[in-house]
Amino acid sequence: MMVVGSQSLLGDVVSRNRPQGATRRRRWLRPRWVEFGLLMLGFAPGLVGVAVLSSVWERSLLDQRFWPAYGFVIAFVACHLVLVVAGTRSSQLLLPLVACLAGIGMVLVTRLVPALAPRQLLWIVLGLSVAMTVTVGPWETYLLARFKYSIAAGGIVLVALTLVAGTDPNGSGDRLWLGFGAYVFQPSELLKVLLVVFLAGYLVDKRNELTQSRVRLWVLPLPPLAHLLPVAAMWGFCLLLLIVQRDLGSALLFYGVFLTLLYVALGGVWYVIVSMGLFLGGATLCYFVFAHVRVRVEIWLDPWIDPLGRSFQIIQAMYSLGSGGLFGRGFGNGYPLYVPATHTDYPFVALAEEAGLLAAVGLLLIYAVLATHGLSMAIAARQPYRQLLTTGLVAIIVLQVIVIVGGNLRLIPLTGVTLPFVSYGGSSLLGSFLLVGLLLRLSHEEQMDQSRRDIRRLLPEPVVSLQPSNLLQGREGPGRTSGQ
Amino acid sequence: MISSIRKVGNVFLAMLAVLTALVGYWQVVAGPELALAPGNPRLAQDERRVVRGRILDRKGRVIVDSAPDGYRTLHDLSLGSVVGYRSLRYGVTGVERAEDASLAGRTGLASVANAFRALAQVPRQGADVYLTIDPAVQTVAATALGNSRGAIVVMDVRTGAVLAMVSQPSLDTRNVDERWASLLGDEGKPLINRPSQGLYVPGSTFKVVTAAAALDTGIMTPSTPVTDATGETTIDGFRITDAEKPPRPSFDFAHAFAWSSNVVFAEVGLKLGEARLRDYSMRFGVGTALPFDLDTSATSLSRTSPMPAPLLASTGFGQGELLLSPLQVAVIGATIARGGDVPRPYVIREVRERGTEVGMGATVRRTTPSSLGNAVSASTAGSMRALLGLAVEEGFSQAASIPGVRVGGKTGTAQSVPGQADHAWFVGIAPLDAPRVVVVVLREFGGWGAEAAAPLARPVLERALASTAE
Amino acid sequence: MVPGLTMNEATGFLLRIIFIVSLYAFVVVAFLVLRRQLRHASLSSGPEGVGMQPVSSRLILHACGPDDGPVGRVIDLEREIIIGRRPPSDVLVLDDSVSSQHAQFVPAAGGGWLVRDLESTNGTKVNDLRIGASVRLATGDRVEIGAMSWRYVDPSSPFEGRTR
Repeated sequence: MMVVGSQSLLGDVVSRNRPQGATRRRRWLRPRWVEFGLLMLGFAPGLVGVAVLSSVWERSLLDQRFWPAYGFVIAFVACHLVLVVAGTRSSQLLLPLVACLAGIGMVLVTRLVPALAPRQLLWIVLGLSVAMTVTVGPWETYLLARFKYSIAAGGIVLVALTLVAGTDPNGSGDRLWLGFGAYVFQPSELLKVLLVVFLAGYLVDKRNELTQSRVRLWVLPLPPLAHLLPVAAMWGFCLLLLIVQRDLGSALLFYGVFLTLLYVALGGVWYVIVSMGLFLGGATLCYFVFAHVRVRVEIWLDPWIDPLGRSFQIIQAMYSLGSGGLFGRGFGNGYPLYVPATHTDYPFVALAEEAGLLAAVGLLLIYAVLATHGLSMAIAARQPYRQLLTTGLVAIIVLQVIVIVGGNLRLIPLTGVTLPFVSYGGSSLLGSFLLVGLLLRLSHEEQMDQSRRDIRRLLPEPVVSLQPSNLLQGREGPGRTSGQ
Repeated sequence: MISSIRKVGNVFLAMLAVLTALVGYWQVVAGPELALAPGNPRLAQDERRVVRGRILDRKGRVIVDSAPDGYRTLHDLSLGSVVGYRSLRYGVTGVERAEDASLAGRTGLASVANAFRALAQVPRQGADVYLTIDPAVQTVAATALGNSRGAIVVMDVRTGAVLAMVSQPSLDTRNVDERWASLLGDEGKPLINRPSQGLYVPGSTFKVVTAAAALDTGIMTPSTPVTDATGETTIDGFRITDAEKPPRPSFDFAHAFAWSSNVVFAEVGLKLGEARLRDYSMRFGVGTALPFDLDTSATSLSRTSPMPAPLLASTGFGQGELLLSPLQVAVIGATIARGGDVPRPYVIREVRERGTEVGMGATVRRTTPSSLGNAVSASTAGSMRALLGLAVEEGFSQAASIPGVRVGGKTGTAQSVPGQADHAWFVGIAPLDAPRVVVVVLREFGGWGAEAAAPLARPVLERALASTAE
Repeated sequence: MVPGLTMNEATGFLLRIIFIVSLYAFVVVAFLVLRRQLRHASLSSGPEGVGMQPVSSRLILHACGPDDGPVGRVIDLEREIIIGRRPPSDVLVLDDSVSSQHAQFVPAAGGGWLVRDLESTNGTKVNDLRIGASVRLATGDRVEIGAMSWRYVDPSSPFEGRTR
């Protein structure tokens, strides 16, 4: 497919053909009261969490430690104002949901590693800036579909860079980071967004070919083999992640997102079953071939075999979880720091211990609302591309939650995936906020299109031209009655 | 495509629901077991963060409390060996040990207050332990004993509640860990709580038991005439002498008691025989470790059995192989004072939750006075009270008399280690017609009971009577 | 204030309760807002809602230029759609001879579908005839938009018997 002409990037070349009322006019200053109210509510848990810390630590609320938590409130209010001033019509639910999650994350980081709280704030501010740029910037998301192959190429370069020049700043043994001077970046966080952007474009394009089965393998209808290539490539890529990068979490996440998009685009359960089987097969193979995979699985299945060694973290996390009770011990009152790397790997467990079962369930409910809202946005979208892109972006968040919380709760082996918006981590926050920016943008465009359609619907109906075929068939158009 | 998205949404929500159920499982179903698992480091941390309860006396004066860092501070040195120490290396003693569970908040969680604490998951709050110690009596007793090694026990005879308990040299329970070697090597043996753990030959104070047994069995009456002309006698070649020859050669049994005639009581011991002496001793609690809130040493009448005649005779007037604790002597005195009923001594009055103010917390447990049985008949006990009164009025115990109050008492001068001065004893009850308190004074190597012990008892008795009059 | 708790402990506990309450207050309000939106959307989405047609009418691409393909591509007509080169068109095509919003397919009053030209530069043809505004479609009609030619198929009306 070729991208023809750069004119379409610049704006409305064809607007001269439009009725006057439908011309695009940007309206500034559109109030977003629902968002404002929800934001105020969404700040509450984070701020109350700070108050709990202040009472337990017996430090003043104005203590320097708590400044980052207040900074985060200012950052989100600023974003809200940007959206209001820019007159965006995007979802008013998304930002408050994210703000509530980020607020809880902020409290957790402040409580667990106070020294890292300012950096967390910095990353939130950077992430929000990216999100706002994406949301109010002068571009449109269909461009992503046009440039999908360039985006895919960018992703591949990123992966290649990590494979060649990856660094390992925290000594975990896995080279998953890219270094830029003093800063390190985890490319997989950006990669997941690129993957969804590419897959959505690709699958929308190739939907028909992929569903037209010409070859049959027993009961399984096979699409033209050339089109199976991306599926195979994806499978190979995820196994590569698993083997070379030892990044089980990302592999699970990427493959899950891939399967979701495949299912939504093609509708066939067969693809999903076969792909899942392929992945399980590959993972089983890895279990037998690679020692590090085996160790992970073994300590997952039975952590008591080595409670002071390899499964120390798992065991400590279980103790932490079990000690939380209904209301928890209160921020600052528990001992979540017995779990190594709590702020990145086990923030959910830390929350469960210190704020209790009720808070842990509340957090999951926020993600559930986020998922429902995101997918209803996908359903409401009119273009298949937007539907697919929205679904993919939501799938990233939800699957990430499932993979990390599932790992924390020993449903699946523990992985290094972060809890979106809550875990400490710059790349993860940037990636997640980029994703929020895209979702906001998508809902904004959807609303704009909707209102433009509404405008068109209100225009006087043009006179019906009676075509010969119409006369022959004796059909009538609605314009004949409504146009009078 | 839209229906596919719907299905994806349902799958996502179902997965989140599974996670929710799983959190519930870990925190509610598996939680309690995990929280109490031996490997859970929170257990030790919680223990360290428990706000240990205080120990107070009956007037609400704080004897021991905890600094915010958990350091235990003793505010009354004379009660050090009663409240005991608490060391991670050397264990727990005294009240700290007896009420460890309450002080650490492990028990007594039934009330609303601790239910709230459990719900709020704040560090446990240990309960306060209130002792029966009366601060005024304790102070007077500690002052009376001064630096002399020994013990003073004051007990409310009506209940068995210990009003004062002094052990000298006293134990400073602070920094026990650092001072352990010197405490252990100290020849004053401060680690022993003398009133309940110290064992001494009772000397003539034991004549109370012998006399009570003789009266109760009918071998003697107060007016039975007895003779002790020379102040000495020989039994199977074993010479027995009085500490001081009685002023008259013949007198009644009551005066034999008042003048503490060893010769007469040796004969009484022989007349009673081993079986009856053991039986009556046992009724008073001798031969066992007294049931008490603090550790007690097992007292003993005689290791040798059957007892040869000289030993039986010596035991009759309080020598031989007899070993009693001051607390045991106090119980004997209290039994006579109570008309023959043996009280169970106690020092822990009640356990209360820590309130905002002293005495405000809800009561967790309160000690009810109880009896250990009956030792002698009420009439015997009445006769014994008269004998004790006679001893103070006419005998050697006059130093303990208080103007305006009838006091009954018995001194004792017990042979200690050969070549050392005798242990000086005094046991007294007052007021004689309706006794409220018993006082036991023991001075190690103090010499004459009448001179070294009885005078010390007087101010203590006075103070105790004033305190119990309210 | 609270029995058994010191002032500071009671404050801490109260704050923790407030934390939980505020968290759930937010979740509940967010859910209510979401539900209102969902209800609103299901009311306005028309055929997407409960009463979905069992088998929808569809457009099948049977000829096209180099940019748009492949032949055989199907558009299910489930609600009104716009074909064009730019949003807010629902079906985006790359063909440069197609206007930004070129043609619209809308449900006809008595069932079936209308095609409406949205004043496109190069016009919309039905069965080789350029249409002025709206035309009702019958099974087998060819709709030409730029270089693309779409066949309209209505499964409820039989294809046979139509001659062109």
